[in-house]
Amino acid sequence: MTGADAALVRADNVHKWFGQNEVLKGVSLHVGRGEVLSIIGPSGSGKSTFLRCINQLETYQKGRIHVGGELIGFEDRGGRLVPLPNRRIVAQRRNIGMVFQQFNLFWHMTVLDNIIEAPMLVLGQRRAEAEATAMALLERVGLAEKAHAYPMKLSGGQQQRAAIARALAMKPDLMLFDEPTSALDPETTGEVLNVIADLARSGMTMIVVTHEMAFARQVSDRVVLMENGKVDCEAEPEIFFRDQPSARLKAFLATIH
Amino acid sequence: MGFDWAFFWSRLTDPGDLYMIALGRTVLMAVLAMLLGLVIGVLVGFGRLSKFAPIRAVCAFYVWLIRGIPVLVLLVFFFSGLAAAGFFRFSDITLFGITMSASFQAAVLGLAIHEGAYMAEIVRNGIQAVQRGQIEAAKSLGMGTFQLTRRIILPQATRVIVPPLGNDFNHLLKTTSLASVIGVQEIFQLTESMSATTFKTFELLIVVSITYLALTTIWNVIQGLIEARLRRHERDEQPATLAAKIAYFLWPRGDAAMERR
Repeated sequence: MTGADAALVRADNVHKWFGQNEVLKGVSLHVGRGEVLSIIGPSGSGKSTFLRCINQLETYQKGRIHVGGELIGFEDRGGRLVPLPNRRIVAQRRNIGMVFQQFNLFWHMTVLDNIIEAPMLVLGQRRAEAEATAMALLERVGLAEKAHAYPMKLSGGQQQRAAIARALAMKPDLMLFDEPTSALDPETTGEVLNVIADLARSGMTMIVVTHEMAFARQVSDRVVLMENGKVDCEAEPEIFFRDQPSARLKAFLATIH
Repeated sequence: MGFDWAFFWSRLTDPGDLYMIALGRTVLMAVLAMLLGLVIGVLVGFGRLSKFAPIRAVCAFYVWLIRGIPVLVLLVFFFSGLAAAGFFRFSDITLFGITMSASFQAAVLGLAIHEGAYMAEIVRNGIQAVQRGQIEAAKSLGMGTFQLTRRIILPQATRVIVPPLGNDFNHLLKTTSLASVIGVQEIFQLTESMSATTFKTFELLIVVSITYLALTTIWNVIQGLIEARLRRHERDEQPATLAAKIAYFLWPRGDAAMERR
């Protein structure tokens, strides 16, 4: 069990229903510290929902998700899941960064204000400290000169890089990427993928839901195929894409190539 | 019977102290009712989106009830109705040397309760216009409900709320004339009592119309400045001078209008 205990994220038999519709049918995945896990799969397979359960943007109804040893969203009272009060859930989200398909930058704030907002409000950082961190992050994602621009004035790729910087400003232990390049045109996809790849090399623990197979192959330590609310197969990227260890994976890869 | 130009000009250029005091009363009534109505509107607007069903029901009932009653009836109800039934009688209050008459208080309260119902709908619409992704992003950054309401929902909803709210205030400036019915000495009431003694009804009505027009014009400019400030995120180049800002409000560029969310 030492291997499993070393995992930063431990999802065990996670179930989720939207009304009568069961979208997660017992998902179990472990992600080690510093590991990069990519999740691929057809739309409607539950991969985004699973990601959103990890930071409680969605609530799962059965199973367990632990991040850093802490049970997410619930208290375990003798095997019974009791929902945590909202303020505990809010606190749990602090260490988990998330990047959205639609960027979701706060459009009424400049890029810099977007980045310093949560560190100041949530972590109580002083403005000078938060701005110094923010500028260093913007430098890292190549957007220093756009610090004072409003999001609407940026391209999609620039907005997504700013959104990554915003999530990183909270110094999270874990980063979740929910189809970060799906809303981008091909020219700007590359610049965002480079930033994510750079982050992966820096040792950040990441779970990336993506349709970019080449990216998943190059950057991930492990790739997972989710289908119909379940993990179909998982493997190291070379094995995953070369050997294609499941019939469903073969069929899925055939549809996108 | 002709138009008495001399009388008209003298009333227009030198309306006299009584008229200026009445004008002050009109503006004060509108501003106080607006502020009070805004407080009611924000509370009820959020209340209509509450997770707690009884709060939603009470707020929906308030909006339904008040929007179904003419504001004139509401004013008379507060001033005379409550007193007649023996529930409550407004009495004059003197604060800091300024006396607020009973009818003035009833008018402010009646107008505020009327405005509050309309504003609640505007506020609710503004809150619902905030995109889910914005709230999810705030949550994912560890913001609590109060923090994300204050820093994300309210500022973004404000952009949606302000234009119709300004429109409401324009309306309210003129609705204050109904307070004449319960005896508030505002400009319309004064106009009516003066026309009863001078018989220059037509001239005086034109003067009072011009006064209302002046009030709404001034408000129009102020609203333009507020909206220009709230639209900072949409443009790189800001209208630099006051005149440019006003001009931009009166004749917004087509492209900028298209870019709006």
